[in-house]
Amino acid sequence: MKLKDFAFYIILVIFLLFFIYPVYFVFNLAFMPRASIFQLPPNYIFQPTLDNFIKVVTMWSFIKYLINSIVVSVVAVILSLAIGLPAAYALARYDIPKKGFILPTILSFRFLPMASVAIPFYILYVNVGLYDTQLGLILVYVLMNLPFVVWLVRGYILDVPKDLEESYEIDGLSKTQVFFRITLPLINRGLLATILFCFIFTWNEFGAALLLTGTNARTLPVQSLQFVASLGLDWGALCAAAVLIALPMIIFGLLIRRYLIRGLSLGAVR
Amino acid sequence: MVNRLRGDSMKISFRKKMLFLSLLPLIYSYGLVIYPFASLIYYSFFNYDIGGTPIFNAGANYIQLFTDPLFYKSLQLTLSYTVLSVGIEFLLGIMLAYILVHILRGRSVALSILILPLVMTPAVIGIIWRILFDTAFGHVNFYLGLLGIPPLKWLIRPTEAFFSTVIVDIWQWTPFVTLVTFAGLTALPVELVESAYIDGASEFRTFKDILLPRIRALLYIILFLRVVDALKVFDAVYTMTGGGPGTATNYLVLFNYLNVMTFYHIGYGCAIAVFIILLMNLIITLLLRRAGPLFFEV
Repeated sequence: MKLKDFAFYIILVIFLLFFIYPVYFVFNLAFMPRASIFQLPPNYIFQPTLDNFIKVVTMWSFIKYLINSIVVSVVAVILSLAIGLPAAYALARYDIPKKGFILPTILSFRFLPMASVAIPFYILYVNVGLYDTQLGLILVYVLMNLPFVVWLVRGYILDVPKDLEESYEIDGLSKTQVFFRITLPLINRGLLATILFCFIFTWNEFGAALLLTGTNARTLPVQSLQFVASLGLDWGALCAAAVLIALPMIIFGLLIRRYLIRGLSLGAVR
Repeated sequence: MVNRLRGDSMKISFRKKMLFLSLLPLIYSYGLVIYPFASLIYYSFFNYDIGGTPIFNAGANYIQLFTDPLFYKSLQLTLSYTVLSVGIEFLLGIMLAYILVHILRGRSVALSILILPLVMTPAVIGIIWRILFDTAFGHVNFYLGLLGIPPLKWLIRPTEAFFSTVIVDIWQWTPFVTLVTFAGLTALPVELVESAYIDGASEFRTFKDILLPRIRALLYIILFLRVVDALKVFDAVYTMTGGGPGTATNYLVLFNYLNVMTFYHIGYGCAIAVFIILLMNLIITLLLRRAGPLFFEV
């Protein structure tokens, strides 16, 4: 029995090392002085430096594309909530005809390959002047986020007992008041998790952004290709850029750890 | 009487309001995609290169597609990639979930580590692995060297490049299988496990014969999500190999993208996109017919 536990831990540790190594590696290289980067065996003890980060932030309009990423993600998530939240409530609480059609159809948009879907949007956007604009990208990202907002928030509302809402209605609150004063505060954690979840996926989106943006509205994941092209073998700076792009998402991901699984499985696990 | 009438009409208008609200996401989504999707189908019947004038060519793009050896290669590569990646992710993922259920210490650390690949920007993941797979200075070859394995030309030779994309997919998505399976297992009633032990079943038998069948629906959902996502793989592969070397990792969506943005064949690209979207729809409809009710159930 003891031997089995030991074997379990060995296997687990080996796989955890596999999963964490690339993350450790990229953080390590980002702080590494240029001279140590191509040393093999890998050099794990060195004087950490911020040179790589300074290089990235001061070159190739990093700040401009960072602002693009923030603006596009924040606005897209807000719009998705504005459209998706009321729908989630209605679909959770009311006898909507054809619910069995509406819900899976909303869900089906989650499975579209963004890079292929973006092709006709590219043609359209070039013609109407939305190509390489934040708005053009935001419109597509709302489409991408709606399935998550509707499915996840609906799940959280279903977790609130209906009797509770009804008891407040008997006490004289209107349905709208009950929603804002009772239901919303009860699901605030789930709601916040959904917001961060959508933020992560919008921030990380690559296929549509690659087609629909040029030098103006480009977001960081697309700009990372530019870093590869221009930095080439400057792996330190490349890794510093990678850290700056991915670190906020790692923090958000760890913050919503429990809710992330529910989100990724589209509410299949609680 | 008057009051009751007012109450009824209020109820009806309220119901109408709720119906409208529930339809808003679909109104937005269809409103946004209807014109682009119509134009996608329209241009798929044209010979249209970037900068040129569209010339109607009937179904020539589709004939080209179904006679294009690159298309068949891409289709075959995508299927191999999906079967191999998802298959390994399932075996590894369920094994790790089994271990996580049984250990007492270190669970929280393990769960946090498993989150990392799921939230990191896929385009960035591709770039990190591109560095790790470097033939001369990459750490993959260095550690393999410690095991006595001579350096492999990971992103340079077709076979190795294919496997490198599979390895990255496994790295990215095994944690998803593990975490969802683990969540499903820990939600099962404790009595279920205890009664099995009392009956004298071994831990492994309990897991295989009693616990796993109980989360069959959940496993089906995981499989569904993984298959659909693997078929439309793009981000990490694009930044790691760009579909190369040659066409070694030219998966369907990459094949589609490269035809439009590198070779500037918009008309042909539209035909490919129509094919991909129809294929995805077919797979989703087939699989969702079984998974759909499961989503509602759980």
